Amino acid sequence: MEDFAAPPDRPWFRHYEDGVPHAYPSIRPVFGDDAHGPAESLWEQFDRTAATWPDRVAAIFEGTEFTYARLHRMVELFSTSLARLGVGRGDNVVLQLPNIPQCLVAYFALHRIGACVVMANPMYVAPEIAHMLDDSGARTMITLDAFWMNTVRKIKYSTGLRTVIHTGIADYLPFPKKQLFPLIGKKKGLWAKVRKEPGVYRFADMVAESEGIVAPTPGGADDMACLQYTGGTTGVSKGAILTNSNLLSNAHQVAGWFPGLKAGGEVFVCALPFFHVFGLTICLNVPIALGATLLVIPDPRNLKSIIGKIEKYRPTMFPAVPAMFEGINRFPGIEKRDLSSIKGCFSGSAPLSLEVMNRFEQLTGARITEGFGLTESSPVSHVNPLFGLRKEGSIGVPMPGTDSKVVDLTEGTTEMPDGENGELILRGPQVMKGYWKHEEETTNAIRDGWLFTGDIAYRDTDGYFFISGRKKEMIIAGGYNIYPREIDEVLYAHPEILEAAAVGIPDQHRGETVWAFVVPKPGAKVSGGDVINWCRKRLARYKVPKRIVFAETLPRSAVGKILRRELREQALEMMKNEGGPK
Amino acid sequence: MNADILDSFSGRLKGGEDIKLRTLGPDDIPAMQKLFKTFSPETIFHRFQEPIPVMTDERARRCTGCTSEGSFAVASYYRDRFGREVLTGIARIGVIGPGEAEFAIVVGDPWQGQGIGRLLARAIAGMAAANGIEWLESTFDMDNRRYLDFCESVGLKGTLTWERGQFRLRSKVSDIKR
Repeated sequence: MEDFAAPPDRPWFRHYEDGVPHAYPSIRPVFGDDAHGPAESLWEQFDRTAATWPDRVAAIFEGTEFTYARLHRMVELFSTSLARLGVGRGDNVVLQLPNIPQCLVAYFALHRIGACVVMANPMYVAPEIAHMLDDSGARTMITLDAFWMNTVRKIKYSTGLRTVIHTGIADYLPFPKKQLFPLIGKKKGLWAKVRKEPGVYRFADMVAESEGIVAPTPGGADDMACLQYTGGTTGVSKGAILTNSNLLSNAHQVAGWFPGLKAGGEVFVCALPFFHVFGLTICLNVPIALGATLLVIPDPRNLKSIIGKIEKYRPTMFPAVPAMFEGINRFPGIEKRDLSSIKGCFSGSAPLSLEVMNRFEQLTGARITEGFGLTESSPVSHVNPLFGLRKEGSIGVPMPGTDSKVVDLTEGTTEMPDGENGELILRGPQVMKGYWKHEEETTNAIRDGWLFTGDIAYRDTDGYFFISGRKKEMIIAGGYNIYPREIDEVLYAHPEILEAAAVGIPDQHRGETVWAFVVPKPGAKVSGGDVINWCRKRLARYKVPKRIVFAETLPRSAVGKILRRELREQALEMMKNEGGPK
Repeated sequence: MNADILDSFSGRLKGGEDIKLRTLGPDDIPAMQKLFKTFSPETIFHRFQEPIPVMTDERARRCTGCTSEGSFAVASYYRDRFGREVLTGIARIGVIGPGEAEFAIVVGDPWQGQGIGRLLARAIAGMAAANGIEWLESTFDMDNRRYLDFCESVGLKGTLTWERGQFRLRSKVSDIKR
């Protein structure tokens, strides 16, 4: 691995708390690696953790507990079955699962045999999955029974997909939840009976005990570990190549930010989805690197369940997004609930208001630190001190081993003085290798080792960074990047729509939400519901406009360019008249 | 509008065809629609800021016609071997205030990189000046590095402001190289 020594003269260093390392190499190893040197791969990290704490509970899922030894054995068995199906080094494999134990097993099994994990959002609809399969070249996919039957099966023969491994949410539920789940799950589209057919395998069969475990063949530090798809300005998503080193580094950087964490002694609430890069690092790679217990929660919106589990299992770390903190703050009777086990929280994906932060800290006694990042930086690049100076609206200071500066918006070569806006750039061990099969975009994004984030920011004299805007027209809703062009394209494909434009509108819970302005074709009788249903079939749920506004024309500039700014103003006016953001 | 000035501009494509300029009018809707078919999705998005799939008559009318007083559009074209006119690019000026106008230039993908954009920029600068326009503005995606380089190369180097993913460049007409 390359050594990333942070520069010595950065003003943010004085805000690092005692025990937080400054340079990347010194934050490794997280625990007991001294004899072996740092782990080279995510598999190696997991293998070492499992060897150090075989009897410690690695994961708790709806009451079912998995020790590290059990999880490790399942990983060995599953990776052996995968290898027998021909999956191995150099293969991209799509993993489309919610937070369930099978996701952990599949993730480390794929790393064990050197395959690259292509994380897919379970909310993706058929065209989005098809794009991911085509673009990544994946021929193998691991998914839920219901996703396979309801979505993926439709596109299997139009893509390169050849092998499908399916599993069910109920597979590792304890009695009687396991028996009851099909009744509830079918209604929610989370359970389906799978027909036997060639190329389709059951996860449960692939982790059954068998003789002869294949030897591990993990990738090296600089090999692709994950292909993490992120929206693209061109309307289609592109894959950010994250290496073993990128992801391990970021896990260690985050762990290093909390010097009080005890290796082998923490319990993490893992409600943030593993398929999202924030959840992947904070709820999976960090706790595994620390030998922590993962309290695996499949539905982050079910606050009742999360609160109940916090009381029952006494977790110590709670990574979440602002909507979850806010939801818990407002949960009926929350003052009488015992959340006192939580000592640290990590918030990301959207700005957290000081009011919500303070209220949550009062309720729990925990400290929240807010981080910032992007898929291309695995993701965390900046973070606020846990106990030190807090500045509202700031994304904090660069992570250990990370350098960051603000440069001019046009050339990107001149560093801006403190207080002046420019493009935020950063470098560090967590910065991606590039975009999969997008050389030009890689060249634009990474210049001389610096990642050009596309965010417009300024730095104050204390070394704290503040985001002022974006270089790309992008909507961030609930932590997901959404490019309006992708939505526009779906709207324009509607046979009764003449013109359309999607815009991002402030949303109290999701940061932003999507509205679409639509001009129907003359004589068309299309309703808002029709448009939303059209989008639901073609876009993941989080991209579907929450509201359709019909208009006779769309505002355009003197030379005919669409004026989204005016549409946003119209939307804000409408919201104001209706009583403010919802 | 003083269109005579356009006669003084000419260029040549890599294939040897002579490029000339003329103003556009309402009769050019079919030619505009034909030109649109040569645009890649990227070109369309950069020009219109939306992924329009077809150039409707109404939109073509807006692109070619004079929708407000003092507005105009200029086309670059060549004649094919049958003597038919083929549009290769369009520059449009839209008045936004006294002595101020917004401009946009688009060149069909097969002819990009052959100096047509530069030719159109020089021509509209000349026409703008002749029509009392002192300031020109253009908005474009902040990641459209190629367009920014183009603006700089023709002398459009004025004030650059930004808002939500877009640059707005405001330049003095007299600074444009002619």
